[in-house]
Amino acid sequence: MIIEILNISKIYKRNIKKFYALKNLSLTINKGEIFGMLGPNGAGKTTTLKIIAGIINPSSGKVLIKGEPVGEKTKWLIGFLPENPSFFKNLKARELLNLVGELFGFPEKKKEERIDELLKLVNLERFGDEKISTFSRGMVQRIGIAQAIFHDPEILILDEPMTGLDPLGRRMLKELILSLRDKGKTIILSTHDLEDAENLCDRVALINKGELLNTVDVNSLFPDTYEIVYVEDGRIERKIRVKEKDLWDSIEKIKQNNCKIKSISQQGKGFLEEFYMEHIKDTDLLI
Amino acid sequence: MRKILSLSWVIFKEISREKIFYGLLFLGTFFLLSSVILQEMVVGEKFKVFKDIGLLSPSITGVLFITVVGANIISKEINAKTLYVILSKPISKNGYILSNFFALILLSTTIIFLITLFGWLFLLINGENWLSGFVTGAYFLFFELLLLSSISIFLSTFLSPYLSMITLFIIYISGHSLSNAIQLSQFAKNPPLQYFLKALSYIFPNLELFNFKINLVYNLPFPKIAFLYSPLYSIVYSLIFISLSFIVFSKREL
Repeated sequence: MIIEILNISKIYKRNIKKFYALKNLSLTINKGEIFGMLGPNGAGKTTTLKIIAGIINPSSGKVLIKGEPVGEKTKWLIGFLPENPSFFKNLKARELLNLVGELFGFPEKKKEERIDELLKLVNLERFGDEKISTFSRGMVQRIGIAQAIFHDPEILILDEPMTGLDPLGRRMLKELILSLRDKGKTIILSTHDLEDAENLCDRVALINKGELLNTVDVNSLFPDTYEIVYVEDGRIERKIRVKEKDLWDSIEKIKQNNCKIKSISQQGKGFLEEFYMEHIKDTDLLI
Repeated sequence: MRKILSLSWVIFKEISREKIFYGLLFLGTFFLLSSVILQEMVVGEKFKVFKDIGLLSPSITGVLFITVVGANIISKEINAKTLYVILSKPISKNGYILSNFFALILLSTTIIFLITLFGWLFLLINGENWLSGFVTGAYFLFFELLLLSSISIFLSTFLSPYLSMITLFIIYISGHSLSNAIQLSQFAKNPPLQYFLKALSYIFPNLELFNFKINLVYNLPFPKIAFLYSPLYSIVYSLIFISLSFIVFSKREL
């Protein structure tokens, strides 16, 4: 495992009242997996992510990253994209990435190369010298992703990363997440979108009112479904889940696209949405 | 240190591109130009008015800048959540505070330099080269704004923007008037009032230690030790306020 969350609680004080944002939460996240965090608004997902990223401290308990308590040292291992990210609005995209490079101590030449590479990756190479204040929400999200992966972190924390992205942006981000996983990176994803969680995550944790309700292997949730793993363009590995009735059509389609099927495996029981509703329905939603 | 300076430079760029920064520079220049009209109304040497306004303009602009921009520099970034991105990078909370402090100093220095330069050129065009007066005025103003910057950083770590601005303004007014008030209270022969004012003078910094405008304009002597004492006073006070900012910000829930 790469991250161990050990019995953390976070208490906020609102006037005299104490409010538990997290209550004795324990979790482990394995290296190389895409780990989803699901739960209604105010469940404690963002608080957990901020603690892992070293932005806030837990009131009790601890988080270990590669056996090391969260601190200045572990920030080198983590890339963080906050929910609805906000940056210095008068800066240009290139200036923001330059700052990130400086904070990670990149040498000048390597930093410039990385900036060009990232602007191209997130499809903003034409906007590098534009002020961030002129960007659309989707563009801000994309520059947010670029700053999060600048130092090629081992762990990437994405808090509601699909917010504000158009279908093309969503597709780009999904492909980026999968390609990073293929490179052995660990990705923690907080999302409200169960379809995204189904398509991307290997495991998910369901959190509500600051407590962990359950963690589950996503593959074990699918009844009468099959997972097809295929290789696109001879190098990119893709994974899709299809129902039994659509299996042969999907295989045909993959072959027509000149992709090579690597494996087909039958999946377990239950759907993510059912799983979610089963656990959340009896609790008071904090919406 | 490289990280802190890089972040300072970015904060400097961010704020210097704000409309309010240009607006304040324009306001300072407007004050300078207003001396042309004022000197027509005042009886006496016209250069005295130019000099007086020339020293007052960077002071007013600088203090307005610290009050309007500096007093909410941290709280603004907390509200906008800009600091989540910064604090997830390898820079400590103390480093973040220092970066903002250095950026404020750099911005204040820019304001002092530009308005003082305009003032000097303005007077030079009108026929008098008063470089020594402007440089001395800018020297003391720099240390006054250094102290006010540290207080504004401290206030913005825990107060809302408006409360922070109001508090800083009260500190500024008190800092310039308490020493005079204490002197006046001695004539009133009211011991409780004297004790009260004395107690306040220990809380609020004495900003009159940086005010030698009258001495400079009217060529009156002032203690040369002020060149050493005033900066030292400003630096010690600033260190205390920045240390307090570290403590408060480390406990602040983000």
